[in-house]
Amino acid sequence: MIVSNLELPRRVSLWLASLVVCGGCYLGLDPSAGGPGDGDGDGDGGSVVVSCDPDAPDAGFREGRRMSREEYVYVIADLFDLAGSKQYPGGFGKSATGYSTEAAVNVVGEVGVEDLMLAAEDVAEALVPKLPELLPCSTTAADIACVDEYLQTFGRRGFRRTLTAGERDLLVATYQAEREDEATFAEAVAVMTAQLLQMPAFVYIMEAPADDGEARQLSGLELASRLSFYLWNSIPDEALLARAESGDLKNAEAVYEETERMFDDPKARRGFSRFFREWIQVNEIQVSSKEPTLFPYLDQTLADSINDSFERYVTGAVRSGASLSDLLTEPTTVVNADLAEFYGVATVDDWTSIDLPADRYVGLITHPAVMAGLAHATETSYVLRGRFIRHRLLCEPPLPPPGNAMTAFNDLDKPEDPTARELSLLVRERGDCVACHVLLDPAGLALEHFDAMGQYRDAYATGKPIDTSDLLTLEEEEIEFSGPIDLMEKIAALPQTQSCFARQVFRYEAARMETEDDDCAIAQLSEALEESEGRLDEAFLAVTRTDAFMFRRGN
Amino acid sequence: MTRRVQNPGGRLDRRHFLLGAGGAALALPMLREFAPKTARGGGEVTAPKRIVIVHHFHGRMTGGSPAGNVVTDNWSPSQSTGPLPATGDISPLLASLGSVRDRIVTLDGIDDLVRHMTGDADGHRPANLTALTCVPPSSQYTAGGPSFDYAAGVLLRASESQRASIVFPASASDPSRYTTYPFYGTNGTPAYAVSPSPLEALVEVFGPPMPAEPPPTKTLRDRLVGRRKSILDGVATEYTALSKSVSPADRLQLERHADYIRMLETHLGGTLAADCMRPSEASMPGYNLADNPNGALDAQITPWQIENLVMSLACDVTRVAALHFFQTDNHSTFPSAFDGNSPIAPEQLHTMIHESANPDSSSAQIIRQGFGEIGMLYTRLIERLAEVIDLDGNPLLDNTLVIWLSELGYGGHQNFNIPVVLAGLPAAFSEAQGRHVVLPQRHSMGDLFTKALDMVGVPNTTFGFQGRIGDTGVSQGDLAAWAGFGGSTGEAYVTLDRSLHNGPFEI
Repeated sequence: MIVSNLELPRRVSLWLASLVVCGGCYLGLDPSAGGPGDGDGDGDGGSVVVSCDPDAPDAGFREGRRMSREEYVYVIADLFDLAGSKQYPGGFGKSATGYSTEAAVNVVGEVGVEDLMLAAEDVAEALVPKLPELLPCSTTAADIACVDEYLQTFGRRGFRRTLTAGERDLLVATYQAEREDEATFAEAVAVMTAQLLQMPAFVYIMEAPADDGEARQLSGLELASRLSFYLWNSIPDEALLARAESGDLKNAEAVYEETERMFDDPKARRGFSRFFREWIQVNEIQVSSKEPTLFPYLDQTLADSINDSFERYVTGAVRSGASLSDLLTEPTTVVNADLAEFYGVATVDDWTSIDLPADRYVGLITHPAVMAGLAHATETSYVLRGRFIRHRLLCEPPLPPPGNAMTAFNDLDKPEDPTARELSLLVRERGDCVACHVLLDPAGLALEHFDAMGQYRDAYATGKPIDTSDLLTLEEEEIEFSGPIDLMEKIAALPQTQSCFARQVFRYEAARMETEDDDCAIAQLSEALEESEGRLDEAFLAVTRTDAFMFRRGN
Repeated sequence: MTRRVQNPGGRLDRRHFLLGAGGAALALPMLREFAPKTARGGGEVTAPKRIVIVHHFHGRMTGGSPAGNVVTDNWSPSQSTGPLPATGDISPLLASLGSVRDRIVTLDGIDDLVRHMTGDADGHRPANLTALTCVPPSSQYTAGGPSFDYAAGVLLRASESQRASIVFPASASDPSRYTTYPFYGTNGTPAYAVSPSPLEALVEVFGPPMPAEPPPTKTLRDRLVGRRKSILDGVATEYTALSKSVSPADRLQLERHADYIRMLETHLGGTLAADCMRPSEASMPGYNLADNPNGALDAQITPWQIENLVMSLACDVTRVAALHFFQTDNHSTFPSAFDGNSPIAPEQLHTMIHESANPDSSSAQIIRQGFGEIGMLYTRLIERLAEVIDLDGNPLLDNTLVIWLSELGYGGHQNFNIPVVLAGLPAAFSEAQGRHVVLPQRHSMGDLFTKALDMVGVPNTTFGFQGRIGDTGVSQGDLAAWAGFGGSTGEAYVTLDRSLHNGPFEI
């Protein structure tokens, strides 16, 4: 391959060079590396060179999407104080961003449409005993006025706007047909609700494009939906909806006021939890996640405690004004009595933040939800752990493994009771494996002191020692580290880490990959992080101040 | 002739039908489709293809005498291919088909050649044993294989639990005299035929009726399930409406969602046509067939049997059915065609047909009028199939090939020029219907049936005997006296080396 470096930006030429050196492990250069618009290639990523026109909004596009299953569960809870039906269709396929709200993964086919119907029917059935509480007129004046009151309250909140006359008439016709078929008031309302919960205004989050094809500012109602699904993973509350309907949610100040209010609301924990879980790409720990003969102590109580601790930890970090660096390096966690026993520390009565031994633990990554989540059922996975650091934390995505990866691995001539490092070195001896594994494995191997449940160990059960020192080769520099703490402190100090985080927050909110048009928005987020010395809350709050949030492009 | 047959009407609601069907002796594959989670799979909704065989005895009934090189005929609309007459009678014998003229194709050029392999000089028996089986009989009285309806049903049915074919006797005369020939089941065994009594047939096909109990109180789940179609209808409309006000990419997403809803709506009905309903026993008269030896009530009773037949297809009880006009053995005097005063004396129909080789004879004119009753009932069948809406939203007739034929060509026991009228399944025809087709080359019944299988999407060229007439050892001298095509012209058409298949043809 003959390529003149003179004809290409330095980042691209470096990328091409890395392909030669690494045998083609990179999926492609993630634009986050080095910072948005940072074309100087010096790796600082801090000097944001993007062209943001102060006179024209830098609006991004926004795909309409079906609400995800997790959002649906929260919506049903917020709307009716009911558990959402498990029938509601989940995501399908792999998202480009790793976030579950991406439009492409929430597309439904016929099976999904049927599941939507069944889920709506489940909720409708559960609604009947709740109706007197939700709709007092159902017990005192069960008539068409009461139906209208129901639609004005629950239909409006579910649709995030007042129903049109056509929607109202359609739903009332269903109610009336049931009443004429001798249904009780509650039954008729329930059947009507089954229809309401399948209607596009409920199921889809969509915005009308600008008629002229130009960027336009979103209406208050559209902004209310964006805010609530971003921060709460759910529909607006009455206060937000009322403010939007009053026309008082049109300017950036009003939006920011609501952002701060919602940020402080307990429901914001949903958003933080989902972001961090999907950013790290871990599911909740279940008893079935691990081999019971190896981890007999893992019961539902402990699994719940680990999951709860993770949510409390990340939510606490964001709410307390912690920085990204703190999140990645502070040896702290949140424990209850079960987790105190798990960590081997003094017991506690209730959930408590504690310091952990600083020579063992380092920030979020050594939390058992992360270490167990990035591991197999029986053993650790230096590949999954290394991949998280490289791909999600540093925005340097590797190529997916080849189809014969497991076959090749199984065919290796392994020593008895091999350590992770022995296996990694064996893999790296293969010419077709080394290109990726030399990049992925070192950071993962640094975490080998944490077993597949995330418990610290000094050495392997076989007595073999654990070596966590290595060299992490990044696109533009190399990091030599002595162990996990050294590694995470060096990673936390990289501008690349901060800019990658800004990009992840953008992807999470927009539910799509960024494009060149989003450089300004991402620059704003990076700037917010930089100016606040990396505060997580500022990154989340800054999203709603961007043009990309306030505006949308036309067709 | 404009008089209409009685319309059975009287639909029962779907729920009533299904509950009734639940007790049916037949294993109805559709019942499982009503379990809550039924709609699976994707793609466009397709309805199954069906076949109806309509059969009457004695072929073209009248005519058959040669006049030069042309056989006298009251059946064929013309001697050449072309559109059917736009007005007036299609032909003397098909006069009562006027209202369905645009839906039919009359076909000349089909012969029952296999009959000549039998060496049996009887005028009727070998024709009955071979016309629909297309294979030589295994004995003088036993068919050598299943008739076409059964063979096609095996290919078309959804599973082995579904009847391959059901024969519906169409003349309600004395059931003690009814036999199923020329229809046969597997290996030439008697065909599965329901009672000539429509009421009894209804129970045989759809099971006993629901006990007359008040309907149980509906649960909320019943209501939600029962309201699904209506709810989905409204929801789909909302998707379509919203799609008009969003970006093109979002529009596509919403339109697809709406399409999937409509698909789901259709699948919620399982494999049942939209109009599938158990025929109404409440309005079905309970005729005593033993009191009707000459078919005085045939024109009143047969529409009920037609309703049983049509609903057996719509409700996917079977995918092949036969309407069997059993006017042979002199049962019928076609009284309804003569306002109750039939000039056909009891037990004399067979004799009169033999007297009708000259189409201008008085017997022929009487038979022509009497035969109008069969044509009228056939018309009723076509119209009913066109009324009932199928699974895919189209008329049931669009998915059903109706083949009307006879075991003989002419009433004088000739086995050439079997009368054939095709209807339904318009998409499988090369041109619009409403035509008369004279095949450029003569073809066998086997050719006709393989063509039919091709048309319904289950190509199978192996149906019927594949060799030559002489393969059974029959001698030239054994070939039936009435084998000659063209009558006295002496054309050597039926010969020992004549192939039983003459290849495919276009319609």
